[in-house]
Amino acid sequence: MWDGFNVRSAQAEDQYRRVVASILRQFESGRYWKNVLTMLPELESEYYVDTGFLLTSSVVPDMIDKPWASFWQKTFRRNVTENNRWPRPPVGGWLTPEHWLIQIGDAVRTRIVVRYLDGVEGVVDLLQSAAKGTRWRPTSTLQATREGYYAAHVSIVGRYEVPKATFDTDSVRARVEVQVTTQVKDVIQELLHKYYDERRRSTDPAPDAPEWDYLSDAFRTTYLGHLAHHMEGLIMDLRQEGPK
Amino acid sequence: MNNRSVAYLDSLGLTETLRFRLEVLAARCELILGTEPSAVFASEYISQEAGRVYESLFAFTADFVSEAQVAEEPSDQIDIVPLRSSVRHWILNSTHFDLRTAGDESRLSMDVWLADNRVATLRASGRNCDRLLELGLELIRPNIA
Repeated sequence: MWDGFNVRSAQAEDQYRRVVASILRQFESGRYWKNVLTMLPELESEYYVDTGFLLTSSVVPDMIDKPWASFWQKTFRRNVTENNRWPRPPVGGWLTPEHWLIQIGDAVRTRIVVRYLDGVEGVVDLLQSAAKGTRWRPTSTLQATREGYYAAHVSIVGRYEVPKATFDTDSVRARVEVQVTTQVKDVIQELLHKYYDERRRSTDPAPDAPEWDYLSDAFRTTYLGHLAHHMEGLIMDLRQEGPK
Repeated sequence: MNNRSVAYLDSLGLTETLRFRLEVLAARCELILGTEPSAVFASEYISQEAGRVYESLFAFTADFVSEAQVAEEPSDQIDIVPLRSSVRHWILNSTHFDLRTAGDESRLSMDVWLADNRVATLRASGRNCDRLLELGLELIRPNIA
């Protein structure tokens, strides 16, 4: 498979770690991220002055890299278990080392946690405008899935000089992901991480009708997510209405 | 604002938004007080989650003290109370502060009880504690009666 390249080898893992660490360093020291870190306190102040409420619950987000095992499993899912066209390549082509850092957007990522639902949009706007005059290109999506997941994802495409296995360097395009989520969702995400992880690893098909299987993990996690999303809306409503 | 107040705001390392907001509030307090405040103080505390949070701006004259809320622009709330000989009880609570030189860990809060049982709470963290204590000694203590 993949031209005889054994992507599970220790060499591939080592190469992945070196490349991702290099991307992380370049991203953190690049103008785009510096702009974000400069603009974020300003947005905090604007939000506080406007609303009387605090915007974020983490002041400076740290960039982290995705562990190789998770990254590898994700490529395997996309290439094999979630590939409806198997044994032909999935839509968009095989995920191979040449392109997988652009195909999988969260090898380097961070999360900005806001306290209220209306903070998500403000931070997303900031992440877009921080790119002005830089070589980085962000795109954003507001996600809300049937499974109860909701968050904004901002994907920033850039070009990086990364080490090659031959001690030379290569110029590659890669995506870095900034997830913008709320404090409530962050707590639930942490709680449900184990379930999502097991679900992702499982080769069993997804349950047919989790909406009626109220004892299943899928039911509990799905509706906890939807309930939280609804509650966030109610919190905003209460906050905006103020005391009667 | 007088030079002392300008230098004080400079020393706080504020974001542009907060700096502008405090200047606007200082100007509004000056209008209400009817004279240029001799000193201003930005009351703030450290939130573990969000860092330094500015609550209100206090402006002092010899006779009055005013307090303006920083947040929830554009609905400003400005209080003004008499200061001269009006302080009945002055409570200082400090942490990591020897009342001489403040460090990063220092915290100081002052409850100032006035003649009509009103209380003003002024809070400071880090080097802002030095400023709060200085104002307390200069403007609160002489008005205890």
